Amino acid sequence: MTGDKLDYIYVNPQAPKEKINYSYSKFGGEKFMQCWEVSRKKYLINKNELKLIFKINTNSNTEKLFLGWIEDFEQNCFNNFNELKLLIKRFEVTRKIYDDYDENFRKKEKYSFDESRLYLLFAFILIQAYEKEKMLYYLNALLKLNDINLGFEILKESSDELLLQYCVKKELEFIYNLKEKLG
Amino acid sequence: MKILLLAGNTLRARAYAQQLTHLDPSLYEIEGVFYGFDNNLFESPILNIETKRYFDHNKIFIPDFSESLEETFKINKWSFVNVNNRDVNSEAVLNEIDLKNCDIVVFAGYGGQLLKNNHFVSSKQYLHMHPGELPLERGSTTIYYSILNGRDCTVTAFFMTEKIDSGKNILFSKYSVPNKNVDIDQWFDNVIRADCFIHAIPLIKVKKDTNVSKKNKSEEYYVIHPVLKHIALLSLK
Repeated sequence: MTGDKLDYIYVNPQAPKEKINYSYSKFGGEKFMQCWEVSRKKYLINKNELKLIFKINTNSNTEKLFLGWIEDFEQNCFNNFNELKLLIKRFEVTRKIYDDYDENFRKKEKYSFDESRLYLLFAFILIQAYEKEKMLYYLNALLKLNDINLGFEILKESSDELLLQYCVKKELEFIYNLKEKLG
Repeated sequence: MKILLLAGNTLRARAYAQQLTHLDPSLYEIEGVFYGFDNNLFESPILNIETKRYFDHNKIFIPDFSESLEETFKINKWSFVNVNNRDVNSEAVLNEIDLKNCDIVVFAGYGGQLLKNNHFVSSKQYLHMHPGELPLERGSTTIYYSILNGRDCTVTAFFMTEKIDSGKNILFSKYSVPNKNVDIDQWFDNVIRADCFIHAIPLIKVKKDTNVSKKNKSEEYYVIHPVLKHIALLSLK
């Protein structure tokens, strides 16, 4: 953010190839929060309740894993929180989601991280986890994922557009609630 | 007891060194290994009214950040060596530490640096001050998460292991949530760590420690997103 210009600098179309830097971020007061809000609200086109349908779109093993987790959340039987936390750890270090992982969530291929749908599905999973557990590391990772998601031009014209809107809407809701809780 | 300050050219190292001047010199011997220093001028941050008021109110020592580490050591006639390498895991740094026959190494390095296994092969114990209650608040930028979770801020003094933020806990020091406009990144964080540090040293000398965590639950946090950081800062009263 520079001067009085209402700019939110954390959405970068070069991400995830370029890692967005959140270290030692400067305090910009309420103006910064307005910038963030603007960056999000412009994608909320559909005001109606969003009905989401999940189906396999890619050949990625990570997508299969995510869709399994989503199903577990929907059936209220998700219990892979340790795995989820490990994947958050990997994501926080690399700020990338890879097409395939080994059993320790180490990437299998170095350059297979540009499938936009995976970032969106992971954001959806974090929403479910935050709603259930209210742990801030879920919300923290969700904010970072949405910064990446909003940089993906392809998502805004795809069948996943509704999912993107849902993830942004939930992020706004969580942040408003947290702000209100802290007074 | 011989204390070795392993320090980068940081505000935290200055705060630690100036706190060391409060120890009884007949009981403690201080030495330094400074690494990665350059000739650039170090700009010391402004101490605003709210930050000064917080420290004064809580009777916490305020360091003079304009005083360099070398100056503090020279004034107190403590010996130190400079290593021209910014990598804390470099052979040059490790060799210098090995040459010092110290009881504890106090780590005050550059942000984001992690100590590799080579540091932990000797019997030297590495003391670190983490700005969170361990193991409940492991990881990065935990002061902000404490605020967001409605908790007081805690600093844990502990002996490091190769595993991040785990090891034997020596002391938990509690600090009330800072007031509005207190400079957290440059002042609050460094100064409360130094305050905890100076209270931990006598405990180590008499081999006393808490050695137990107040809570068994372990949570790991990662560098805070600016939106969450803003919510934390804007919530301060």
